[in-house]
Amino acid sequence: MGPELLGRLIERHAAALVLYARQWCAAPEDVVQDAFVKLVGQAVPPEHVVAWLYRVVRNAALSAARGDRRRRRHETAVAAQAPAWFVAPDTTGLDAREAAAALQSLPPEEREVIVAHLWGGLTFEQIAQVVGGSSSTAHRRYVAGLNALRERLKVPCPDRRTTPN
Amino acid sequence: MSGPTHDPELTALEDALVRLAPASGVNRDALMFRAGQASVRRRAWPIAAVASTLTAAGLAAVLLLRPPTVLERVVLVEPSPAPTAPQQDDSAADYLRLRDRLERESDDAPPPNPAAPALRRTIPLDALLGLPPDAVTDPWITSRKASFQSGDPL
Repeated sequence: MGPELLGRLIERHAAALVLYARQWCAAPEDVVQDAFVKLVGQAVPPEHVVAWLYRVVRNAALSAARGDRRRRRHETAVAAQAPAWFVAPDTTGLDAREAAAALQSLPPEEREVIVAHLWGGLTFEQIAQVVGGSSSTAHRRYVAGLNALRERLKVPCPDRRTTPN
Repeated sequence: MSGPTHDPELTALEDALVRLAPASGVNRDALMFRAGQASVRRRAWPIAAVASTLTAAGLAAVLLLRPPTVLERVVLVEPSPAPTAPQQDDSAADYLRLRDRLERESDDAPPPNPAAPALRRTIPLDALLGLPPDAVTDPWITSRKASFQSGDPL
């Protein structure tokens, strides 16, 4: 894998991968960096690089989370000073902190699918391969998670203009 | 990015969410440096493995194809020590030497007889006394006879 392609992958997917890994572990940046280094070490590049990265990051983050449980007290203190999940909002209409809190409150399986699809750009088939299960299950979790987010964020309904008969 | 929700409210929420840029703490330059290190390390192992394999094969060929050599070895054999003479009883030898000297130096000593030592040693005491062999069975005489013949003090 050439450095140009690697640089493009980092620019396009590193932030989303960090967000994805942040669901499980306290040091998502390390997990993402290790995943990219592992990608470079592959003798044969994977067919779907982005999906491969998400799978590697997920496994490493879950493994790191298991190790982090032993330091739960320390995590609690660190979580209070944890970096924001999103960059400060400007024109999105959503408050970043509220969005992060609402996302955090979701069940892990729904949150995982939403992050992978919205910010990672993975299709539901790819998410199903990463997470395990079927694409329809991934889609169902996605819709359920979005509905929960809508209720918690109190997103106003868009104007529905009905055409007069 | 809009998902296949077909619900205008959910689509609007998707659009609003996707505009939130995830915060990234990944240092791109540091990551590229680590990736470069990893790629170099990966190439070093095969090169080292091939080099060591070729070296081993070359050494094996040299070992198998070289002519047989005669091994010459110098062996040092230490001469065995000479057998030591049996130790003589110094006290008996001194006694005999002293007696011979007194016999030679005394005025009334007979002239030296070359056969005397052999005679003295071969003639038993019983014969000198004119007794048949083993005629004396007294322990006191027997012990003195043995002492006289061997030269040991009583």
